[in-house]
Amino acid sequence: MFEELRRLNKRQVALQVLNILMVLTSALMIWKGLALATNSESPIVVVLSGSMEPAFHRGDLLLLANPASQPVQVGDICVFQIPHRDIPIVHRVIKLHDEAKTGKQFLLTKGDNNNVDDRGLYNARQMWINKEHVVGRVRGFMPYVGMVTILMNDYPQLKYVMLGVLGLFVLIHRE
Amino acid sequence: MSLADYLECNIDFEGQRLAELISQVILTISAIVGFLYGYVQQSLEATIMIFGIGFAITLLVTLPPWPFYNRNPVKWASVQHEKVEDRATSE
Amino acid sequence: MHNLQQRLSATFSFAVSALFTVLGVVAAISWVTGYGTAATKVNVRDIRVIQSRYGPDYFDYGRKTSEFGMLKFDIDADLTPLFNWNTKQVFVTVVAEYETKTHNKNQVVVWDKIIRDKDSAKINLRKVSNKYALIDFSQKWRNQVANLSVHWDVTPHVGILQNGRGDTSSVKFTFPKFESSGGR
Repeated sequence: MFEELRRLNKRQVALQVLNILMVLTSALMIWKGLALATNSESPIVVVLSGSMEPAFHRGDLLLLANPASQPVQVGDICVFQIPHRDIPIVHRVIKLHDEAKTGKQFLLTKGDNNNVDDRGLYNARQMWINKEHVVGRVRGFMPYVGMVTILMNDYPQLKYVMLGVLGLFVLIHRE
Repeated sequence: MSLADYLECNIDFEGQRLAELISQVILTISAIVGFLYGYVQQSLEATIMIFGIGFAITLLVTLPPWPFYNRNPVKWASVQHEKVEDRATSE
Repeated sequence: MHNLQQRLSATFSFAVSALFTVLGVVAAISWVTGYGTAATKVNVRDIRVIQSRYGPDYFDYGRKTSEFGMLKFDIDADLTPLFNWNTKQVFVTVVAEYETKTHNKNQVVVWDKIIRDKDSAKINLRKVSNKYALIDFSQKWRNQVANLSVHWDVTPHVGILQNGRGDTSSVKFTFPKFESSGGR
């Protein structure tokens, strides 16, 4: 490993940086492309709480979509974000009222594992959420894959350790 | 062997090819068998379990440096000691 | 493949690829074949309207004149066809749907249940009360006609979530006008 470090000169480092940038921008393109295809700002989310058990556990990966041609139905599982709260919530729609004149939707949600609906989670005096709060509807599901994100959130030191190790590997391996 | 050599569990080139082949064959077969058995029994747990067993077997067969991986050891050229006076005069 | 660490990492990545391929095929099969349909039947036994109030989270329902529907129904459902190797759970709901003058689509979940395995997939219940508040957006029921039906939502072990409804099971019922028993 130390032999590789000795072989580094300015051109090698520049080439490695360029490689890293290529990988990062390709990843960004794929992510944004997926967001465009699913009409959802954040098409892949990790389940953070146990409020949808036994369907979803912490660490499961969800694929979201928000097609304009298919309106939200009761029973759909939505990921929504309340203004002034930073964590998105993944719960099921249990009430739906479409206003005829304005096309505005009034939705009430509840987690499968909760006894009460989500009005306690909404902002004060907010009785419903609307279409603009919905980030996407859950379409696909993959268990356990998101565990890495949960571990990194629970143990922030792990994040720095992983970044450090990754950085070292990327700098010294030339593939 | 020094401790570092022992921990590295090195095997020769023919052995490496054999190990790679064995691991790919066992993993592919356990994936296919697991898939078919699980489909027939309608049990995804069975599929995962069969694959897990296949993975464990693969690790057991390919990780330790078994003797049959070392049947074609590399023939290193013998070390040649240069004469010290020649080196000193040529510089 | 020269030393232990290389063999371990190569085997591990091949194993992960193989596993993901198998799971991908399982998900693709479920996507193509779907989960089938179930036979369901629902029947309204009783519908009453009372006035009540909720609070404090339910800001709009704080007035004493909010009208709540009290529904009793029977449900028969055989959801066993929905269970295959990729079914993790089935979420069954009984939904009331109706149209009002101001809102053209209203859907309210009246009752739900989570079914985790094939053995508990047969439901035969009588005189079930609604689990959730049956209250309209305008908080009044004015002889409203509504449609009660059974919906299901299948969560797979891996793949696409699919839902369906029992079309043959929907039943119409009317909310009676609220009769106040002694003046305002």
